[in-house]
Amino acid sequence: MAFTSPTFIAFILAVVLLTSLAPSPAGRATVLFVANLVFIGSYVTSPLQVAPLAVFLALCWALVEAVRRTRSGAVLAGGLVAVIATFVVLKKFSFLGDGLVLPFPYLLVGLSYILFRVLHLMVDAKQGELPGAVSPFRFFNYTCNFLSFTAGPIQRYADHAEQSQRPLVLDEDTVYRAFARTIVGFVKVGVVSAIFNYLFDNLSTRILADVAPSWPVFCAIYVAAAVAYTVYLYANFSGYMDIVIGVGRLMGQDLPENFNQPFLARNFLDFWARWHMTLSDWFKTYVFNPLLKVLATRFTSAKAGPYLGVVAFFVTFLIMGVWHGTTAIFVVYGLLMGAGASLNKLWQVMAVKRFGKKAYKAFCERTAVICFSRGLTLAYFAFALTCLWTDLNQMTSLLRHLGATGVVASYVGLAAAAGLAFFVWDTVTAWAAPLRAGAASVSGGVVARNIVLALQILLIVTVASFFHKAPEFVYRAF
Amino acid sequence: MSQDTTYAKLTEIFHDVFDDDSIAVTPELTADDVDEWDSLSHIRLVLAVEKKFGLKFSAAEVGRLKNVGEFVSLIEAKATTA
Repeated sequence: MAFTSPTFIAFILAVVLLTSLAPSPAGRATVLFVANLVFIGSYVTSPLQVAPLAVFLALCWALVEAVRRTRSGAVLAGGLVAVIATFVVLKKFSFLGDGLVLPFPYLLVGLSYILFRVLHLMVDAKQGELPGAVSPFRFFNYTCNFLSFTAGPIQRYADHAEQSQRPLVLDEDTVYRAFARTIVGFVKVGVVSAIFNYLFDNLSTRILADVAPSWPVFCAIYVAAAVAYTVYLYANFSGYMDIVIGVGRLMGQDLPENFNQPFLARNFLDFWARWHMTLSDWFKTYVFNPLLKVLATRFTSAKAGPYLGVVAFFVTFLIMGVWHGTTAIFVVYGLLMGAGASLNKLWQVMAVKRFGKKAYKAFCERTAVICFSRGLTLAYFAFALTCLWTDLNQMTSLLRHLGATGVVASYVGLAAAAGLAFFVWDTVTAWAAPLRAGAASVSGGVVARNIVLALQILLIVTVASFFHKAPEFVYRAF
Repeated sequence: MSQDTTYAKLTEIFHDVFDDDSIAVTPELTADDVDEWDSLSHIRLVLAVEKKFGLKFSAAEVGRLKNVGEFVSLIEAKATTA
């Protein structure tokens, strides 16, 4: 079911209405259960297509329950290996070759995010963090919640369980805010991401074609394509989050936020605290922290800290990169992310050591430094994302055409241009702040906010008429 | 163990881990208030607390700590059940 399709809109309206008609915890859980089945069912045409997912879920539930009952480290270790191995086989990771591939097409969507939820449940079950036994019914509703089935946000089980027991309270303001949030999501997906996807398609076709344009033009088009893809990815993904968070509120689910203005991040580490936050938190909690803890227990010197961090960053981002896709280019993506985080940390350590805490802090607060740091961060991320729209051969060919000079010139050029754009943006928004405050105070903001809502809907309808169809949700592919 | 003793021990650990004797360890103190309280030093802090108080924290407990007040509550809850 495409998220911008009339079918999906009709589906969520039906689910919200049914939830309102059966607002008790049991009623809502039943509506959610049926909705999840219908949502998954919309992707399949035969029972065989959904059989691997059903077997995977049954295996995962049994293993979570085994770990919860035994609280045994050996059962946990065996369970983790079994779940990850099954996931790798079902996702058809390229290093496996053709030997273990099931001989029929089946549903893969949702599997990656089910994995996160199951691993979290198993680790927490071992450490006594689960609020109680997880029934198969609740397990299905948690792992296959249609709102977060394909891309998160990755909600903690304890929060999901607690919210499902809470009474559904919907007042006028809550309903308005939920609708407004959902509309913003549709604007991001149907307007912004559609426009930038169109631009990206046209630009990337030119640089991935057999006949490349001249070198300076090639560099310029590459930078433009990298930026267009980044904006498309952000608008598409964060728009989808706005939609599910808005709809979730109408169903009594407070899904966690997944984005916090990531392009305002002043460095790469800050960026990952603002982008796909539930995924970052998951990796921090279940990979980075435990790994760093093991390393720091073995190497106790305070001086070793940053270097242990570098190891932990590389391992964490490498796993995150490989999780994104099944081919070698995703290893490159993970290594680039690990390098970004490590260089960022080592620079901070070196700068503090050389200039002192106070001087470094004062340096970081200068307007020019803030804007340029944002530019450097955005440029690095946009370039690393190239791994998500090329394969290894295309990436190699791209780098050959750019050359070392082209890579450096493109990066510095984009960082400087973005830094300048951030400066202009900050200046204009500061200047416009009183105007926004004035508009918000008209009729207590009611008139202004309804005009904004109406204009957004008009914009969606207008732009949708230009495109034959809105872009599909990008993270479904991962 | 009284709360004062817990805060006194924590203050010692904070001053040692962040190499800064001026940090006032209060319940409201968060990572945003201490320049060097990042993901790396957070783990050093957790390890130092585990050692000093003879406790062990789970992955989820380490991940969800939001401020010193929550840390103290966790230490006291763990110390009671240990």
